[in-house]
Amino acid sequence: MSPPTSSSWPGVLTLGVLVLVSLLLVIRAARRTRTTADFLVAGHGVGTLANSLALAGDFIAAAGFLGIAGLIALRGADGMVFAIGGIIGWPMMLFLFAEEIRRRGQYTLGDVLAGEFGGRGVRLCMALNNLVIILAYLTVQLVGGGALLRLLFGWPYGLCVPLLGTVLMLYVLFGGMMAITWIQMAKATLVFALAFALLVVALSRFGFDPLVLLQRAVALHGNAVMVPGRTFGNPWEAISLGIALALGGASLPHLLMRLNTVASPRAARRSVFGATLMIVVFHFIVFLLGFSAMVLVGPAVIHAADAGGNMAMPLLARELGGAWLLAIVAAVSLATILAVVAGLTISGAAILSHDLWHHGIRRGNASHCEQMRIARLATVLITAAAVLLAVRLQGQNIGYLSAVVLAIAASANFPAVFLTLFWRSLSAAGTMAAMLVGLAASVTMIALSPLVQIGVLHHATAPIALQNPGIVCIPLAFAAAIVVSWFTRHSQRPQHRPSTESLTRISP
Amino acid sequence: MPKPITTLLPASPMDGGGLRPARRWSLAIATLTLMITLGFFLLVAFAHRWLGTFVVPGLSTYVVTISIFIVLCALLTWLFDRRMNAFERVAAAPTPRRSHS
Repeated sequence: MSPPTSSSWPGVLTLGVLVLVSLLLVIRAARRTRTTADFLVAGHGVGTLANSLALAGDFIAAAGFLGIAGLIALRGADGMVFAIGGIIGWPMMLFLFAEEIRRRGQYTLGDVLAGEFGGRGVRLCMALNNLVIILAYLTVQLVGGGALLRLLFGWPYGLCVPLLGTVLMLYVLFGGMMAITWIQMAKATLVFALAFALLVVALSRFGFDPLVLLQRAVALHGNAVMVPGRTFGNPWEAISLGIALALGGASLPHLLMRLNTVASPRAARRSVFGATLMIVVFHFIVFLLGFSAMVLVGPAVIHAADAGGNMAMPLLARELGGAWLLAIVAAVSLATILAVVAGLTISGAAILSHDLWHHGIRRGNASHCEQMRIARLATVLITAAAVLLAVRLQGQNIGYLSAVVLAIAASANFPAVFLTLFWRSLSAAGTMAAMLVGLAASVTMIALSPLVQIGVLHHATAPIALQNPGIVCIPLAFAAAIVVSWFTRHSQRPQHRPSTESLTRISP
Repeated sequence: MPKPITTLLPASPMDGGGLRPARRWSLAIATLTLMITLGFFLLVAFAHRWLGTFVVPGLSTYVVTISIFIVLCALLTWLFDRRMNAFERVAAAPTPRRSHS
């Protein structure tokens, strides 16, 4: 069976309907978007369940729906390790950050840190970190989206990625956070329903017994698909990945920013709790779908369609239901990617307009209209940059690339935010040191890793053997914060700072 | 209805000694989760032989461990949410007035 490359009208129709519905939501939301708060955080008026769905939708991106299924289909149970990292990030975010971020945040993570330390330095450092993370994550999603659009319509990858960029710009420019929240909710519901339907159809081939599916996978591809070791040649690689996924998932800026869309810290906690349960259920489904793709489609065909394995899910759909089901899965996956990249883009726009422009350049004097204008300009700039990068990364597995982005988030964001909330002796200089050391170390190590040196630049070897730098960079960032805070202890935070407020206080 | 948690409540409303009880609880459960995660990844890294055994044909110890780990995370999340709700109920309860007779 050869991978489909020609355009098909079911795909055009399904995708057309989904994009049309999304644009209607955008138009409806645009009428309700008047202030900067409306545009960037939906006026803090999103309900708890709605935010749970939107958070789950933000996370169940191309990496979860396409990448993890692809990794499982190609590598067996080892692929699930990537999903575990993603899952574990959610409880960590719930336990450590959810309520505190909402209690202190207005729009961005920069607000949280600036509220603690004052001044522009920490805000600008956090803005720099988050822009790098968002741009990298946005690029990863566009890689998946471009591959999918190519599979669906047979258009060149170099055309598909800019096309996706254009649609996502329309979403963000006109609808703002409210539109993206609605789209995420609709998308999350659709993805859950579709994944469940696919699972039912796939399991029907195995007598509705998951064990028979797993036994068939072992019979066809050997015991190796059920045992560890196919992905991690170096044990430290597994540990590094685990830490990076757990802490990085909890510190992704676009997810933390979404905590500010609800009215109270309690609502933020409840919405992360709901999202965590949804994501756990979703990943169990993806696990079985990945093995279904391995058995029913075969790793060779999946690899031929996309070297990273990202097309496992659409190809499974074609195997199970023909062109129509392929079209529906591809269209929903594309809608998923569009919604996620829109969420990422608006987070980046918020950082550029609120942190960099309003607080950094205009020193808090920019009007709401001016901030909105800058946010829209930022949307265009961020999208253009991500499209250019995505064109360069064709053929990489997006589940794997996401893990690398999470390593940057875990190194650059987690130590600074965690210590700000939980360590009173942290100084402003210590926070900045944690952010800058974490960012510089993680980006440098990734640039020197086999992923970039061999995978992207096609060199024979790489200076650093470690693919995921979390095990080095996260402790380094913590150490930088502690050492610099010790040397600058005369400038520690005042003890009356807001973080001494009790969690037991009733939220407004 | 679950009993309110009183043992972790602050001795005084200011609780100047350190982190507030709910935050201590958050930190403790986050540390536990991180330790479990590290334990899991250490198993993946160093216990290939044990994880490579099969519980029943088709179902390896590796897959069972992954499933248990995910369910455990969901359980910890649920436990945390219940505990936080209890903290909130206690904080919301009116303070009993002391008689000065």
